[in-house]
Order: sequence, then C-alpha cells, then structure tokens
Amino acid sequence: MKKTDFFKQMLILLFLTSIVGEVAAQQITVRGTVTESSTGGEPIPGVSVVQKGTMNGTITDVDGNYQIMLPEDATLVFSFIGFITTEVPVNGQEIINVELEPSVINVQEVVVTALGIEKRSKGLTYSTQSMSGDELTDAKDVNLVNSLTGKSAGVVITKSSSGLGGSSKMLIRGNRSAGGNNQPLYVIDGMPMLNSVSEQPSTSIGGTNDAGGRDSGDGISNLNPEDIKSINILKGASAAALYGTQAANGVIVITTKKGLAGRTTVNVSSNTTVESAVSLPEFQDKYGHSSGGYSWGDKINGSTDYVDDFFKTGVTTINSMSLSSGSEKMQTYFSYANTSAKGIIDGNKLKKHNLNFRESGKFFNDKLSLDANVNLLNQSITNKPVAGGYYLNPLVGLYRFPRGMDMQPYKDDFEVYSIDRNLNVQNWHKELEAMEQNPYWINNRMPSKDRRNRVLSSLTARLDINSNLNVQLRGNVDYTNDRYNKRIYASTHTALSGSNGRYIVMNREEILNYGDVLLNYNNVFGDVSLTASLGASVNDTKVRSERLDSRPNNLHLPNVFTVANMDIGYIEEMDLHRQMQSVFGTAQVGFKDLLFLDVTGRNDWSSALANTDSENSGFFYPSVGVTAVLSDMMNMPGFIDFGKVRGSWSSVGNDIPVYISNPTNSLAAGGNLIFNSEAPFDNLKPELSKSVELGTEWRMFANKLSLDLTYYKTNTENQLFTLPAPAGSGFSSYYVNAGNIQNEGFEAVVGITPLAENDLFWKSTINFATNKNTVKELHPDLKEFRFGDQTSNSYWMKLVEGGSFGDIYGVAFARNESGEIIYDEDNLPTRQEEFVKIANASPDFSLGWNNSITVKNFNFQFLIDGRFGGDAISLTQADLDQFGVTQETAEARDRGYVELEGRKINNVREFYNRVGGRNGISEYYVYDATNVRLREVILGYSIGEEVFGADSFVKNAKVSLIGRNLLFIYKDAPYDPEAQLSVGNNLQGVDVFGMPGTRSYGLNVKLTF
Amino acid sequence: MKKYIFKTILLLTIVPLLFLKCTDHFDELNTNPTGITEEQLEGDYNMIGAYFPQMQQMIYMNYNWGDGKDWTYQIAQNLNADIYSGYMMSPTPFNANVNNLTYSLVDGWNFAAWEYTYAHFMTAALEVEKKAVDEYAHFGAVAKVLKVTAMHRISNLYGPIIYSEYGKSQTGGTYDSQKEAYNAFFDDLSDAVTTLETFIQDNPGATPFQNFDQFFGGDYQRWIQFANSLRLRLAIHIANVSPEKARQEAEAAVNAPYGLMLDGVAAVSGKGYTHPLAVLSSSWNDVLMGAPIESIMRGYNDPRLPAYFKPAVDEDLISQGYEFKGIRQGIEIEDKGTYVEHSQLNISTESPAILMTSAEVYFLLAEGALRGWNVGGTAGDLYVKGVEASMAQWGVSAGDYLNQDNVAAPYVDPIHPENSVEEGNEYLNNVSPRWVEEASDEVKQQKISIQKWLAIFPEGVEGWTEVRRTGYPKIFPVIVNHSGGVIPSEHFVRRLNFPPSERDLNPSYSNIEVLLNGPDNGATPLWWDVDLE
Repeated sequence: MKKTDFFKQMLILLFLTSIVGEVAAQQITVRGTVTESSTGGEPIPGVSVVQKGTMNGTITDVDGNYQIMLPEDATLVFSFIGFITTEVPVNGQEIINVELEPSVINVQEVVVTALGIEKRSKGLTYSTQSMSGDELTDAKDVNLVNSLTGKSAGVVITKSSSGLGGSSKMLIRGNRSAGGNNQPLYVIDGMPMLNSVSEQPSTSIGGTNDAGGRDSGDGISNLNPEDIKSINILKGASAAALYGTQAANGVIVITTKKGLAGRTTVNVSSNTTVESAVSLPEFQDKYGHSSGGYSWGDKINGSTDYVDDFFKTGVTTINSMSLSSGSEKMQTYFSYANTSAKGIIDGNKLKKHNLNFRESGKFFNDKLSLDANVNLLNQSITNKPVAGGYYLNPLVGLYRFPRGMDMQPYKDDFEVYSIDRNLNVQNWHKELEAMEQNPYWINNRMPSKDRRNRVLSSLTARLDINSNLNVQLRGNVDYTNDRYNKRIYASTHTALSGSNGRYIVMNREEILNYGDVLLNYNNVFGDVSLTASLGASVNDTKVRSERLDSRPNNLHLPNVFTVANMDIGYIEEMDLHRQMQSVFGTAQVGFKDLLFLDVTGRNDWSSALANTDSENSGFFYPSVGVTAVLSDMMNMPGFIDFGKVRGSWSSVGNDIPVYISNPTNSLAAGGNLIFNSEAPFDNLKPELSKSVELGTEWRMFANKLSLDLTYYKTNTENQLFTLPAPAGSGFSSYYVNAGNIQNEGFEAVVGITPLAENDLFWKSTINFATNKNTVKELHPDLKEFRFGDQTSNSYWMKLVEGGSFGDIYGVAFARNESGEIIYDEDNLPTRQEEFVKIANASPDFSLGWNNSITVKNFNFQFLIDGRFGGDAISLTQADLDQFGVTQETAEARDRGYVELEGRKINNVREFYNRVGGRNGISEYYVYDATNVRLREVILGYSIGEEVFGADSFVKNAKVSLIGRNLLFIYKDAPYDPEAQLSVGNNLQGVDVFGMPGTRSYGLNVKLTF
Repeated sequence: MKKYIFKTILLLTIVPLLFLKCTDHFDELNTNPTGITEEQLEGDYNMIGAYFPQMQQMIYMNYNWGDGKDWTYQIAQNLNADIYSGYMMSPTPFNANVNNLTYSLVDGWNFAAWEYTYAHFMTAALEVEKKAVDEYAHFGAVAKVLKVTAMHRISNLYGPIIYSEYGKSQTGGTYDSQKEAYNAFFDDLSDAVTTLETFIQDNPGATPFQNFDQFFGGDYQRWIQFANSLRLRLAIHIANVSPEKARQEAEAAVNAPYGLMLDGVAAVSGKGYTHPLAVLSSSWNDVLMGAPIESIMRGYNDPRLPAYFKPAVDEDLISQGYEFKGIRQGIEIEDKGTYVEHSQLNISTESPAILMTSAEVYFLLAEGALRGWNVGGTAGDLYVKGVEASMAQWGVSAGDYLNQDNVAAPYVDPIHPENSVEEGNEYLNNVSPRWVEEASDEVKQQKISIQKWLAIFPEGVEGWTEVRRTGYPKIFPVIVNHSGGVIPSEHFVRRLNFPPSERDLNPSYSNIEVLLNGPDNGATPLWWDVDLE
C-alpha cells in the first residue's frame, strides 16, 4: 500500500466516523473517572464501561477517565478484574465518577504496550514485566537502569567499569546481533527517545586514537527517576513487533508522571549514599622490589596500602522536588532534581540538573486533550576515568607499583621541575611505558570534561470523535549536545602524546524528530470485543560530530590547550542522517473476554536502504498472537483464581548503519585522501528476527501465589557482517547479510505473598531466566566473526558456527593427546601458538529474589540476585601475577612451588612470567563468573496522617536506610564480573584494569506536602 | 462545535502528510556529506593521482589511514626485518621478552605487513590500474613500478603472495609461489618501462605526475632508471636459485634505454610523510643500534657512523669509552631501562624513507660482474664506486677507508658481558673494506655484501634479504630462543609466518606448504634462500 493511499483512506474513515457521531447525537454524553477506593483515589485505567444490555462500551484511559454516549435512562456497568463490578443508573447525569472496591488483592491489570497503547494484561499474548516508579526511587542509582537489575526475568543489566556517569547495558533474552545493536529501544510516553552510546572501548588496550577506553555515557541515565510513573519491559519481539525495524531487542516503555486533578501535592526527596571500592585485586606484602619495577625481590616487613589510599570514598547526593496540581480541565506537573556526586577516584565528579514541566488539559467539551512536556538536562562530569585497558589508566601503574616501595614521593611529587624545559615533568620510579605511567600524574595531568545538555519535549493531542473512536497526533524532539575535551600534559609518554602535550576536543549533537498519527477504535459487539489502531510515523535522526585530536602530531606551545595550538593529527567528522517512514496497524479481537487474537503489522521504509533492491518496497513486519483464559473457559479447582495460556509469533528487524549502501572516499587529517576500499553492497537488508513465544500465567490461593512461565526462541538472520575482505579480493572490507543466531530460553516469574495481614505484609518475587545462544550459521565463506581489533593481548571474542555469543578465545596450554599439559625442559608449561576457545562469558541462568516486608510503618526490602555459570577472564590478575604483586604469587613463593593440574613447578617467577602478563597463557586466568550478591537493601519507616494529623502541612514522610551491592554471597573471579569494559558487543567477560565495583549505602528521605 | 471538530481533524491529518512526503529523497539523504565524491576529484587528475600518496607512503608503512602511524611500521617491519637484518635492536622486553626478537614469532605483529599492504596499498593499486587506460596509461605504469617495489618486500618477508591473481576473488586469493611472483615482477617492470618510454617519446617534457610524485618530482626518466635498477636488484636476489634467468634480466636492465639509477636515491618524502624510525627511536626509545652494525662500523672506523647513529647517553658507557653502543638481539632483558641509553638512530621525522640507493646499484653490478655477467665493468671498480657513492650520499669523506685492513670489531656488552662476541668468534666478519683482487670469490662476495648492507641502511627488509641470501654480513645468533625448537639459533630466522587471517580464512592456504616447500614457520627458507654450503 502506498502511503498516500493510506492517508486518503484514513481521511475518509475520519469523516465517516464523525457523521456516525452526529446520528447518535440525540443521546447524552456521560464522562467521569474511575478510581480505586482502597488507595484513596488512584485512577484505574482499563476499566470496562458498558451500557447495560447493549454492545455499547468503552474502557477507561490511563488516567481512569472514560466518556460514553448513551440514552439518559440507561445503566452503566463498570467492571474490571480484581474489583467488584458496579452498576450505576445514569438518570440524566453527565458526570459519573465511580470508586471501585477491590474484590481480592489488587493486581496490575492494564499495561502500556507498544506506541503507548494501553491493553488489558488479561488479553496480552506475550510476556511483559512492569515496575513502578517507586522501585527506581527507593534506592536510587545515578543511572536508573541499574535499579532494575535482578528485578525482571530475562533482563540482564551490566554496567561500564568507568565509574560515575557510566553507561549501562540492558540485554533482553540474549545477544542477537553480531555486528549491530543489542540494546532495547527506549520509548517515553509512547515516543522513542535517544539512548545512543557514542563511544565505548573497542580494544583491551587503547581507545579512539589511543586516547584510552572512554565510555561516553548513555541516554537513559539522563532521566530523573522521580519523574517516572512506571516502566514496562516488552521483552520479546512479539510484544515489540509494532516497532518493526526497531523491535528486535525489545522495548522499554516508560510512562512519566503528570499532574493529578483535585489536589496539590509537593514531594521532596533527598538521597545520599557513600560509595567505596570493592573487589580489588589481592596484593601481597611479603616480597619486595626487584629490578625493573617488579616485586620478585627479597622478603620485606609489610607494605603500605597505597592502593587503598588511592581510592577515595565517593559521595552521591540526589535532591529532588516535584509539584503536582490541577483541576478537571488542566493539570500541571513540575519537578527539579539535582545530583551531585564525587567518585572513588580523586577529581572525578558529576553534577546533574533535571527540570521537567508538564501540562495537560482538555478543551472543547473535553473532546480534545493536549499534553505537553519539556524536560531539560544539564550534566557535567569531570575526570571520568577510562573504563579499562592499558592506555591512560592510572590503575596500571598503581597496581603494578613494587610492594614495599614508598608511593608517597610519587604521590606528592608526581611531577618535578625540569631545568631543560622550565616546566614540571612526570616523575615515576622507572622508565615510563605507554602502558604504565604515574597514576597521580594521570589523575592530575590528564583532566577531562564531559558536558551534556539535553532537551526532550513532546506534545500529544488526542481528539475523541465518539466514545469508540479517537485520533491522536504526537510528536517529540530529543536534542542532545555533548562536549568533551581531554588535556594531556607534556611529558606524558611519547607514544600517547606529543612532546608538548595532547589535546582532544569533541562536539557532538544528536537530534531525534518523531511524529506519528494514530487512530484508535474500540467497541464491544455482543460476545466480541475489538480494539484496533492504525497509524503512521516518521522518525528522523541526525548525528553531527567533530573530534579533533593533536596525536600523532603535537601542540605548538607546551601545555596550552586550545584548538589554535593544535597541530591536528586526527579528525573524526560525522554527519549521519537517517529517516524512517512507517505505517502500522494492530487489532485485538476478544471473544467472551476469554479468548483473544492479536495481530500487528508494520511496514518500514528506511533511508539507510536507499540504493538497494528494497528501497521502494521497504520491509514488512507482522506478528500474531493468541491468548486463552483457561480459568474462564472451564471449571477449575477452587484455589485457582486465574489461569491463561498464550502464544505468539513475530518477525521483526534491527536497523542497519547509514551510508553503507553508498560508500564514498574520505579525507583524513592533513588532507590525505582515503579512498573507499569497501565493496558496495546493493542487496543490503536489515537484520531479521523471527521469534516464537509460548507462555502461561496463573494466580492461586486468593492471589497469594502467581506464576508466569515463558518459553521463547528467536532466530536472527540477515546479520550484517562487516568483514575485512580477504587480502586477494581487491577490497579491504565488504558486507554480507548472512547467518542465523538463535536464542532459546525459559523464564519464570513466581510471586508469593506469604503474609498478608493488616500490620504484616510480605511479598516475594522470584525471577528465573535461562538463555541458550547458538550460532547456527555464519556466511559460507566466513569461518569466524571477530569482535574488535586484534591486539597483542591474549583475548579475543569470536563467533564460529556451532559456538555461541560470548565465546572467548585466548592462549591455552599446549596439551598432549591425553589432555595433559606439555612442559618444556625448564619444567614450565608450554603454550599453543594459535588462539583457541577458552571461555564463554554468557551465564547459564540468572536468578533474582526480591522481597518486600511491611510491618506496621516499617518497610524492609531486600534483593538477592545471581548469575550462574559463564566465565570471566582477568588480564589484570595475569598482569599483576607477572609483576609479582599479587597474594597468589606470595603464597606460591612461601610454598616454594605452584601446583598446576597436580604438577609442582618450583620456579615460581618463571611460571608466572610464562602464564601471566597481558599476552601470557590466558587459559590460566579463566574464572567461574558465577556470582550471587545482596544487591539492594532498604529499611524504611513511614509516618503519615496518624502522626502529623489530618490538617498538617506535612502529609507523609518516609525515611529509609539503603544499601546497594552490599556483599557477595558467592564470587570466584578476582573482580566484579558484572562490570564490563564495554556496553557494546565487544570486550565481554574480561577485566583489563577496569575501575573496581562499588558498594554504597546511605539515607533516603521523602516528604510529601 | 462541529466546525471545531472538523477543523481539528483536518489539521491532525494534514500536518503529518506535510512532513511525510515519500522516499524519493532517500538517495540524497543516504549520501555521506563528509564523503568525497569522484566528481570532486576530477580536477588535477586527482581521481587517479590521489591514490599515489597513499601507495607511496604505504610501501614503508607510514601512511595514516585513520589508525595512526609509526606503530604500524613498528609491528609491520621494525620488530622483524629491521632487527633480523642486524641493523637495530629494541631495548624493550615486549611480552616479558618472549617475542619475535627471541624467535617466538608474534602473530599480533607479523600480520601487519601483509594485511595493511593488501588493505591500503593493493586496493589502491588495483583502482589505479582499472582507471589508467588510454591517455592515463603512464599512471598505470608508475603504479606497476610501485607495486613491484611494495610487493617484492612482502614476498621477501613471507614467501608466496597474492599478486597475479589479485582482485579476482571475493573470498580469498590464489597465491603465486615466490618464483611465480618474481616472474610477474619482471614482466610488470618491463611493461611499465615500455609504457613510460613511449610516453616520454610522445610527450617530451610533460610532467603530469609531478603533483603526486613523492619519489622523483614527476621525472619519468628517473622512474625508468629506478624500474631498471629494481629489475637488477630482483635479478641478483634470484642469482643463486635461478642463475640463467637472473643473468638475462640483469643484462636487460643494464642495457635498457635511459639506463640505471647511478646517482641519488629512490626515497619517499613530502606530503606530510614522516620517517617512522624517528619516532620509534628518539621518542619511544623502542629501537636502538644493533650489535652487528656496531661491530662492523666501529671495526671499520666507518665515517658514516655518526650519520647513522647518535652517541650513547649512558654515563657508564661513555666513561668506558663507548661513544656508540648497540644491543645484541635475543638476549635476556629484564626491563627497558637496562639498555635504553644505548645509541639511538640518527633519523629525524623529515628524513626521506630511502628504498633504494645508487650505491646499491653499483654493488648489484659488482656482484653481477663477479658472477661473470656482462654489466659493463669489473667487480673491483664497481665496488669502489659503490662505496664512494654511499659516502657521498651521507655527505662524508671516505678518506683512507678503502685502503684499510681493519676487520669488524669484537662486540662488548658492558652491562651483561655474557652477551659479548669476543675476538676470534666465528660470527665476527673478518674481512676489511679494502678490495683485494687476488682474494677468493667468497671473500669478494662478503665484502660486496657488507658494503651493500651498509649502504642500504636503514631499510631492514632489503638488509635482511642480503643477510639471508648470501650469509653476509655475518650477524650474531640469539642467546635466548623461545621458538620451542622450531628455529635453531644457528639457523637464524628465515621468514615470517603467514597472518592468522590467511591461515583461517583463505581457502588457498591449504596448499601453502607445497608453495613454501616446507611448513609455514620461521625456519622455512624462501625460494631464493638456497643453502650455499
């Protein structure tokens, strides 16, 4: 269907429906709000409102509002699962507000699905998991995504080991895309938002132009968690199918708060936590300095703890306030949050201001609703440490520093006056190496600044044509500007800086313009209910960025950091523009409220596919799902309250980078022409994920036990492989669409309410998920897909057929036919020349146990979660073993030997020289990645009306002691395996001098006025 | 009321239509505004010519294609050929001293010469050859000369290369054995010279290549002389394994119109090109003087010594009277500080990267004469001219250099004396610079090789080729050998392993042992590297 045809048809449809509205005009319009009696007036969305004895009906919107046309003398029936059905005679009233009494314990019934369309969870044909905003604000993290860790089955969150303001990676149901994006789409109030991560470490050594492994930060961490009303995770492709090309990795649907009619509420909250470094390497203090900066020397009497001294106690304070007020016609929500944090490394600071203003109103007899929102963010981070790797990383010099030697002189005098240069130069105890410099020099003489300004604004207009039909027009603009600079002072190692220093300056802006129109229809025809939407959208993103770097050239004047002083050696200029135009539709047909059929379809035309065979046709993404509510269909034993089965199938995409169908020549710094040597690819396709999902949901024993089981299988084909072309091909790289990566898994969510008295309430949720990833197929000519560049470290991630995502290759011991290690004449183990698979980073399964216990005014929450199976590699440990600073090496020296698979090796130093180091035998440094931790503990006390009195200025107060990442119940690896060098696809399961994880605890105070 | 509704509906529907046009503009939208189009390149012949700076700089691996430079040269050439040749040595114990220099060949380094050359040189050469038809044929001829210049170096590192079948496969590439590759080199040089001769004849005085030429300022006559000299070099390379073909090619080169390159050098410079050894040696201190060249130059009192190297700065060395001090390859190095104050290379970033000198051409002729080929001179005369040309090139006076009977000096490692090579050791070169007509051919060959090797400095690939081909000059074997018995120390390393990408991804690799006539490791001699004993 051509899009112009589509719009013609829609226009006709709109006219027809407005005429229909006129025919029915002799009746009266009744409207009102449905609220929940037990919570003191919280609106209930999704309530079925039907004229008794007819098919005329509607459902309440997200604010509990409804509107229906019917004869003056009719009777309205309000029904909703979990609540007592209520009948109200109209008697000519135009406004009927209803409070519903819960029949059993309240269960969340309406979920916000794709495009902001609300659906009753009863009829959903796929699995979703919702979280209320409180779960983000009770124990705040600077990046709100981290607060979701362990709370949802099948959702794995890892964070960058780059400290404050670092990115997080959310991976839903495994990695699908080898070369593309594996992170979900974030949607805020029905519209997409930016969550770009512009830079991540790509190698375990360096970074962009060897400037260190920088984490640029992500988009989701910019939001103020106080503004969020709920988060709903659309895990599977079926749930997200309505997003077509963007649906493959699932969708995070965020609904934000807005003003409520009737009362003015002011919330103030203050959250202060202190952070300290955990999971540091274990150092020895028995053997001292030997030549070359090693610690293989004579026995010493202890060593000062210069590592502990290096890390500071971090402090994070988040203060926020919000105001909500409004009348029936107009509602206002305003909030401000201020985040101020000090990292565990000297000089690392973060400041963030969030401002949000939202206004919603109703016009023309409440037929038109407008909702406008403006969100401002200003954030600055100083001296953000590298996420890991060797270059410009203070931890290398710190950890390697010879035991027993005094760090103090290199801390106090990290620089000394040079008479030759008349400036201060770096001071270190040995010859500088590109990979090892004075940590205090790095902290003090390589300052960096990351600044971000962001505006996220949106407007939604909805016109209710009649009680069954509305049309909605939405648009948003998300603009982000990032400025980054790094100043590297003269006398930094010459491999990484000119003799006069180095300056990097970067400016990047990203704009997302989105608009859609959506026509929503719902009606009930006897036993059949229909909810349908038709729409079209445009999604236009632009990225413009320039990065200037003086390396490999120099600065003209030493230590002057201006663009004019740069002899620019490296330029990265980007101007990316992508536009996607789409039409889509969805319909859900219900039969007797117990059998539902759900279909969606979307066609996307992406500008990235210009010059390809599919430019005009675009790509079509369908999905279909069925749900049967078994508990309504047949007689069930009395203890079963609810039971349903569901199944769905979908086919969705993952977009591709722009311009690759049309490669061009480019210019490098200095005017060097770089000719395109990529083979053009005119048969390019987006990746295609086909998935099947089956599930069942049960609630039993008066809702005290709930069970949600899901099985899924996803096959992702047409993977875009960027391949280094074979040497003989005449190109340096080319693309293919090929492969099949399968994810198959099982998820279980068990909810238990062991205690539900008035004064004592205990709710417990267990999340279990397992995912098996298999590379079913690559390209016939492609034996393996490689992540990142080849470096001289003994670590590489690769995909091979039959293998799986997260397979890590490295150097293994040479073994004979019976699997025994082969030793050389010095009784040292020998190594295999070629890299072989030594580990896999993906866990076998994950388990989260979340508990909330309320005793009168006290509330106690704790979350234990664990990842079981999978491997972690520590090149940090390997490097430090070689330097002889670790506890392991001291123990081996005490013992006089190292035992390896039953054999004693007496030459301890040579053993660690052989297996250790960054390119030693990495097989020796594979650890079990299993870790179980006490992730979150909250102990709160609330004071309400009973203390303050009904007329008090303060309505409610809550004080909580909070702790995050408090202790490991089990951990094998010498670092926190949850922290990753990169939140991209590269560098998984390896630690290379990453910033240590942190434990935090503190106080949260919330006041409501 | 109805009016408002109608208007609103109209508005809500038309607004999206305004910005939702259609996909016609996608072609334009999906074009990178920071890219450079072919049309933008037409002026000044850039559509062909602009490939040449990249190609010329890639020969000696110091072209910045966005990944930085210098380190590319370091792993592509410096940490293998430059050190294996005996010219240089690194004070840095990379990978705890288990690396190329102790015969544990590092794939993570040795892939670079191969992969970078194919990715950034051969791709460009292929494009030039596609575009260089009809009136642009002369560009194609220069590209052919450059191709041989670059690829004979690659072949002399690995052996078989993808050359005559290059660009014909999407999935790998068929290898030429080294013999086939050399035959193709001779053909390409001969074709290129014919094309350039014709161009000069048809367009006297024209210099269309001037804008792009980093060798000879656009002078095609010099390009012909260089091509002829390269042909002579290749002929000498194969003289032991294929003497008849070698003689034919050498004599053809000698007798060609416009002759050989008997003055000046062929070197890359300008257009932002910097000499990578300047950064590697002076800034990074990652490569310093080698022990073999110290032994020879100090023994000979070579006047070029201060032009090649800087005095050592280690106070202890100076007080012991060692003005210049090299490091022996393949020794125990505990940390970088141990040897880091030995002699640096005397090369600045502005120094041109020399790929061939006229001195070398004289020595090639001298060896030809020694073999009885018709090269228009006697071995002794040509040898003397070679030495004089090299001295002149470095701006020093030969003095009585050619009349002295000094032999190479013993090598002393004052820090770890166990690394010293003492008087009478079989690895010391016991010949002098003076040409003695009565001497045996073996001694004459040794003298020619030593002087040629000195004149080639610092081009390690050609220097290593000379050492491997003739066994001269003698260099010192490694003491620490981490090859696991694959490369015996007295056998010396003969070649580099193929990169993992070829091993793993190129289907033709299955045939490699046949082409190599041995396993793909550092002990297998190349085709021209025949055992002379």
